[in-house]
Amino acid sequence: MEAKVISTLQDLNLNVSIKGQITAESDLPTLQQMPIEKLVFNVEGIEYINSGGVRKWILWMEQAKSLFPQATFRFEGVPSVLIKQAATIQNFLPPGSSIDSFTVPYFCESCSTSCEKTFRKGQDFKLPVDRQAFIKILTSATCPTCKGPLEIDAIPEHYVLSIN
Amino acid sequence: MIPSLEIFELTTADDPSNLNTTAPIVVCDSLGSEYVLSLFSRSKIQHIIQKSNLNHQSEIQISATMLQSPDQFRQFPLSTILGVHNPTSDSEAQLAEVNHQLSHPDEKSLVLDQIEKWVAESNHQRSIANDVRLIADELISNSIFNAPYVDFENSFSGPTRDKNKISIDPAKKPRVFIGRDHDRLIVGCQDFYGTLNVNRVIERIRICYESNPGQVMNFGTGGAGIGSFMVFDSCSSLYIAVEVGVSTTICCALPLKMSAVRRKKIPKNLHISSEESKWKQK
Repeated sequence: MEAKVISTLQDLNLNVSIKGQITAESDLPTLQQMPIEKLVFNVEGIEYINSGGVRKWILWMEQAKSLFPQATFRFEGVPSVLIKQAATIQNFLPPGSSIDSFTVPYFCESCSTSCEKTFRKGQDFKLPVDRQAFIKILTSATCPTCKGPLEIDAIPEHYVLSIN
Repeated sequence: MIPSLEIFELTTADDPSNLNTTAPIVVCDSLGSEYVLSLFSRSKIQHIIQKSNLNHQSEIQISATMLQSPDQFRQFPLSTILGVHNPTSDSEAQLAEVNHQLSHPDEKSLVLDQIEKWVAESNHQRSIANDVRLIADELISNSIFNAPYVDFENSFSGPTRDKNKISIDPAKKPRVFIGRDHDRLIVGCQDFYGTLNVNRVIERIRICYESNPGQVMNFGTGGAGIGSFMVFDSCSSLYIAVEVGVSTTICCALPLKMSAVRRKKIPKNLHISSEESKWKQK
């Protein structure tokens, strides 16, 4: 699915919702300069990103940062495909930005169930996270189908690096 | 049976960044990705096999085939990797559970959707489906945007990533294929240009590990320059065979039946078969 971006302005907050696949061909809209205090990117619907998409994303973030240098950048519902890039690629998320919530994929080896769990700042974790304790939280989950232990289907260390 | 080939066994006493051997195959254990790449970049070792990867004996056999019968690997990559004795076109066709020849750049996203759907229907983890899609995506992009347009030095990336500005030569349609056995899934792509400069691509991946992909990224025209890093980082074994001016075959192995964490921890194998690497060796 091609990337779909919907922006809504509420007071001094710009909410940007992004869904689909981020590739070199994605049409990430040019943001307009306006008085903004907070940018909230809801990225829960991003399913996939490739190398061309990473470049496109970084350039888009740089543009946003230059348009709104004083605004805070917050990310909600960050999926594992973006967490991986944020942990691996410098400046994938703009410096000073924060991840308010993220999703973790799980897989049940017993019954092949795939599911996701959302973790929210303040509710499920606090900054700075303690590496060991945080990884324990991320890796402890129960299968909703067979009640067996779920295996995390991502790299816990990537979450530690991205969140902190 | 392993044909007589010199194999160097790397021990913890050896410095992998400064290895002095003429053996084409090095067997080691738990060597980090950066050192694996360095063994090829600096010491021109073409085959680096890790004991704690899936089955290092079969990997030695693959190395032997790539060294002694490179044509077999180029003709029958899936059969060679999956251990078919005396492979044929039939064995290769049977193993290729997914097999597409691209006639037009527009077909890429359709093929990727089909691949992702196929992996998802095979009851593998979501992360496998994503990695397979990513690898196929980057390999196809290389075959249609780079391979026909770059020089042998790969001194510049393909001129554009605009699919409307390029075309695929009907006589040189790239092929993407997937096969598997119980333990691993193989994703591969073959183009019929043979323009990949393996020294350059491996060195580029190595630098990504040494510094950061964000510092290596190309923000100008052409590719982003980190696709090869993303491919290598997503697989447990990388196989590259280049017949200069004729074909480039790249395959990746992904272990099955294990968690994303265990997959990530598996030390990587690297196999290179390239006339160019032999030239540089001399």
